[in-house]
Amino acid sequence: MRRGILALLGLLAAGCVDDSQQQARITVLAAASLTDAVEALADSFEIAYPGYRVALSVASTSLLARQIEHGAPADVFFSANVAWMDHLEARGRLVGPARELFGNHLVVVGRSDMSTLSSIHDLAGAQRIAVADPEHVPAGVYAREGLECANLWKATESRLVPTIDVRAALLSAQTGAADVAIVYASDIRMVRAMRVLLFWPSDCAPNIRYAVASLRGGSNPHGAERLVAFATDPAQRGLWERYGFVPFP
Amino acid sequence: MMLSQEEWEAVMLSVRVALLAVGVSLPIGIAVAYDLARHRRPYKFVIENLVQLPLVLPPVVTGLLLLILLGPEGVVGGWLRDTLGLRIAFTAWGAALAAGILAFPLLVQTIRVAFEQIDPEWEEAAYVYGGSRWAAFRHVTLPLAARGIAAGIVLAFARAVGEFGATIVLAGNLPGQTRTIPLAIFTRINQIGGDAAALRLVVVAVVLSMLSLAAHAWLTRRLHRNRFAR
Repeated sequence: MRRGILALLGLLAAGCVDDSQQQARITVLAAASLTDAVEALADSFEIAYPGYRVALSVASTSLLARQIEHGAPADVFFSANVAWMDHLEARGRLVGPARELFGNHLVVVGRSDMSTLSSIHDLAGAQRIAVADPEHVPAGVYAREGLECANLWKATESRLVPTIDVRAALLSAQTGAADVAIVYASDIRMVRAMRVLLFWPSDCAPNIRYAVASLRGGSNPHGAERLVAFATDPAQRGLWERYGFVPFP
Repeated sequence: MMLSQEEWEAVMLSVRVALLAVGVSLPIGIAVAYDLARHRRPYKFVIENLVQLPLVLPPVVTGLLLLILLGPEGVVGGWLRDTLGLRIAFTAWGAALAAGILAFPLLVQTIRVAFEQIDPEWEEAAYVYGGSRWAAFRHVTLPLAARGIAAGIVLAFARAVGEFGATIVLAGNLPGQTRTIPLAIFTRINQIGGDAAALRLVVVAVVLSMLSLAAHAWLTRRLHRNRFAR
């Protein structure tokens, strides 16, 4: 019986052996908010370059950056935030410079039965405003920047409901836990029964930039280079737009 | 309810990872549980504390500590890779390790209770009749604790299947390699129109957990009955 158990464990372990030795595999780390867009990009990349297979691991930008710092064997990183890219570049983790991909806008959203806001200053009238944690979550940091720029930070700070990520802020407004939420324009595609109440005024719009880079720890530098070139090709503008992002002019 | 091929992959991977986690940690768990149940060591509370720690520590913290130690450039991880060619971080081994460590307290605690319910005199009787320590353990203690051990296995399995926080930090979220049920649910939540797929996996997770808990309840009920029969 003991031999049987050992054999079983061996079998399980064998089933768990990874196939990262395959030359054609490109391991991609992507910010959770990019899940759909990068999956779609990977699909068209695999059609354009049939020899490659993209394995996509998604988590928050900050966690992925930490993993890269600790030597994650990944080829390409899609970051929701340029600051983390700079952080990795300073630590010598990138091959070549990071390439900026596209931008995003902040919007104020509410349930679809709510009336639109005529100006950003109407936010001062909202009881509870859900926002990703302004301390460290990129979406929240941007929201704070935008509020400070409009001189609304002091007036609204006590009524902000910080959430763990931007999707949670959206959910708070959707369920009525908050009156409105400040989220990315690309997020609003996620949910029905919600509407954009206000596009953030362009004079106070924070500079939201997504970036991509190939990584030093990867096993497939050629594939990585191809994928980065593919992602930054102007031909992909339509794809990014389809997922709510704002390509640079 | 039909699962897609990718969802099946996540379910089967979860089961494999959890079985591997429990399988590897079981001998260690039995040894630690027996030691805690039978011996009074001077620093017993330290061992107890260390064993219980993953139960109360945020799993993300456990994952981060493991990543620092076992990452490709960590002290232990680098050594394992260079000497044994074994890579833990960002592989299914890492997922199994994270799940195993998080499930370890439940495994040890359940087995320990089973050992404590066995009267030490029964083991002593085995020595009197000339048995070695190992023989007494093998032929008296283990069979008497079998149900408790089985209950521990089931509970640890359930915890291992549900592990998320440490897994995503140590092992990443790689489809087919480390994307177990909880990570697959997380991925689907982040997708437009992923709700249905997420809910299907939620149903699988709930069913697996309920079956495990039912098995655990059945096993421990028999355990208590045994005790009263004694």
